[in-house]
Amino acid sequence: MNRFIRSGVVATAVMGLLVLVARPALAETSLMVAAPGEALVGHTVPVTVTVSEDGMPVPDAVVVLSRKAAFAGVRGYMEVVRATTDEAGQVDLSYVQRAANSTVELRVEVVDGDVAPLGFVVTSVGEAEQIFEPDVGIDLPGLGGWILIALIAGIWLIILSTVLRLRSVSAQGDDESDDGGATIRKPRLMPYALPGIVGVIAVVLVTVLVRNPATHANLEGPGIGDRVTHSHLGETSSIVSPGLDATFSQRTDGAIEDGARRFFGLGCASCHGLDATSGVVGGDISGEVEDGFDEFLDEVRSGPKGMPAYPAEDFTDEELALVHAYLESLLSG
Amino acid sequence: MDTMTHWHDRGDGSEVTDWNERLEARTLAPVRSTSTGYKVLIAVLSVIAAWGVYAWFFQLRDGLYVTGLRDRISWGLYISTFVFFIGISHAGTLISAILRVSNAGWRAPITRIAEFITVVALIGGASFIIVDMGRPERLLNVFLFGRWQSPIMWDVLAITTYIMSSVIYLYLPMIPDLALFRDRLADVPGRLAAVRHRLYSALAVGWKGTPGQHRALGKSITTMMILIIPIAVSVHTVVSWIFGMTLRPGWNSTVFGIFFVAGAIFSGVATLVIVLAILRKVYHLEEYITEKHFVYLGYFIGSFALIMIYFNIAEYLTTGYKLEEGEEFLFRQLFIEDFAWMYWFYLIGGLLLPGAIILYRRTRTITGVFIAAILVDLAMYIERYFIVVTGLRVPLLPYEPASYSPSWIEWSILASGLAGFALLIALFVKVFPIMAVWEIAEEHEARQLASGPNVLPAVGP
Repeated sequence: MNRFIRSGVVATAVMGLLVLVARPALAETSLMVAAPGEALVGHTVPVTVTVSEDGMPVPDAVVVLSRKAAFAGVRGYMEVVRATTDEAGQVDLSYVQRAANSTVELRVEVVDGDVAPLGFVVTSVGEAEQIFEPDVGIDLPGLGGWILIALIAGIWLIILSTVLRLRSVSAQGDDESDDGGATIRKPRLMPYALPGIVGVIAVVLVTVLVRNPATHANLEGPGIGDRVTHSHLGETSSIVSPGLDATFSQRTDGAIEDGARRFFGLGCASCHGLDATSGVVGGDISGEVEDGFDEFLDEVRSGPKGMPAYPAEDFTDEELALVHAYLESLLSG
Repeated sequence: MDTMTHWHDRGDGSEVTDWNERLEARTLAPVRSTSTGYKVLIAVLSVIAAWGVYAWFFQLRDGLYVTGLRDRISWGLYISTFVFFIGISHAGTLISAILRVSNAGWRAPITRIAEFITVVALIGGASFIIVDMGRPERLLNVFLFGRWQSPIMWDVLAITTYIMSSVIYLYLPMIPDLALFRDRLADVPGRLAAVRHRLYSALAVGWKGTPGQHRALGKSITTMMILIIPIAVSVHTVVSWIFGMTLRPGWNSTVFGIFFVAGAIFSGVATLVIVLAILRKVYHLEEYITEKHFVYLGYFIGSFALIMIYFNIAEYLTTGYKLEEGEEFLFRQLFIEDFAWMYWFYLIGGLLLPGAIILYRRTRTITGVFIAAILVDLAMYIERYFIVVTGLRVPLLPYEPASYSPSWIEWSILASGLAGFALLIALFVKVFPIMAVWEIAEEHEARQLASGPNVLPAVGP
């Protein structure tokens, strides 16, 4: 009995000692990170960090997520996001995975906390795609390059008008062939040559502008200015841009082909992809096509999910019917 | 009125005054006789120009590899020279068009030379674009595949329009003087007499000075002088946008358009002063191009020096205050490292010193303005050089900054371009009237009528 009690006391003492020694260790802040190991380029990577002390959540702790970076010979950690923990000791440090084809080294640390930073990596998966590509250059809605063409043509017309007056100057000098002893040759060259040169240059410059191909995001229909079609039926596209990375090859009848031309020419394929399902910007529209033409038309006119609404001035119902027919044949085939 | 003018018969039935005859004689003198010095000058300039063509041959044969240009610093001396020449071309527009629009009487004797500098400088500038191309024949692609979304295309449009309108703006006011040459040079003997007569006859389009002709020509000149101002401003703005439309530190600036236009007028006026001073000396035009012209142009230089200093502060303070990573590198190389001597020479020698020379009354003389103009031109060339090179030198990816030094080919072609500029001006004064005789005469008459006979001795020498 005595022995039992003694050993009990010793055990208690040892335990008490252990508790005394271990107490700081048990009270230490702990950091838990929940994040996926892989992420799609351009997509948000959910990162949740939990801060606790003795198993109890720590609110109002400032947590920083940084990534390893090197630039111009300088290496170090670059802060990506910084936030404060909530009541549950949790904080959302989601960020966008921007680097393609690489593994991003990240680090989480508590500001002024007595806990070592926690490192982890997130590997990018998927191709190096640009998620959002703005139009290059300036596009004035509804005017496009025509305002520039009008400006250049206007300036050159004024220049032409000034040199055309040389004919009037010349005509008044023609009636007499003698002036102060010197014979005046009938001037035939300059009054015609100069306007001629001005006219030719003006026509060349305006033609260059008019022939300017529409950009892939320019929604003008195929017309006189289109020289670079985005894709030819049955041919491999030479242009790689968002949504146009696949090879398109299909032979169809006339009406369907007409729809195909519009699908590419009007710019639908730029966002929705050559096959209407793989577009990076506009995404898969096979569902909308299957819902029938009325539904399809409604979608184009109203412009859902960030897509611009296209009124009848842009594309007529007939054009859209052709596009719809083409897409139906494409998706069923 | 009889006391103030000395009419006499010219021998062919027409009557002129002494003053008018002297003016005509001065303007015709370069065409009537050729000095040995002129021939030597033409020979020397031709040799330098030919040397540049020889150097260009190597570049055409072996490619841009023979220059100091590489992948990272792909623009250097050629593009700097292009910008410089386009800048100089603003001389003609500013002096001629703006002063004509504002009806400043003192412009008359210097407009012709200013307009000619414009045309020659534009030709020089455009040729340096071709020189900068490794495959010049691909220039055609600009017209075949040009897209208006590209600043390069804006440049092509603006510069083409500017060249054409400057040629017309040079030509139109020259028609009455060409008619004068046609009539007065008929008696000059020589092998070229017939050719010359045919040239002047064709270019003078039958000008006889009838009121109807004056009206028609006057209308055209008025239209062109108004039109050419916005065109000229657009040209240098668009040239700056070649740089400004990129995200490079040092180029990524909204103020670049105005900055370049101001710099263009600045260097253009300076070039005009230099050319005027030389032609005045060589062809004894002291009676027409007086100290007043140099002082007035000096005021232009002085005020534009102040504007340029202001732009430097505006540009570098706003970017320097934020000091993004690339800007920090740019500032270091510009202000304290590799390019510091260029920048400080530009600021002190090219902006402050010329400004001081103009401000100080005792140095505000023909010589003083001439020296200020040389400093300005030198500094503005250097400015174009460091804008082009320092911008490209900033590493935007983690690599060591590149270096660039022009090769002998580039220096040779630069020398050739400058010689070609001088050569064209020298040839021009040999063929065309260097002063707008009819405008000077009109202005002279207007002044005489205003002052009356009693003040006459003060007008003539």
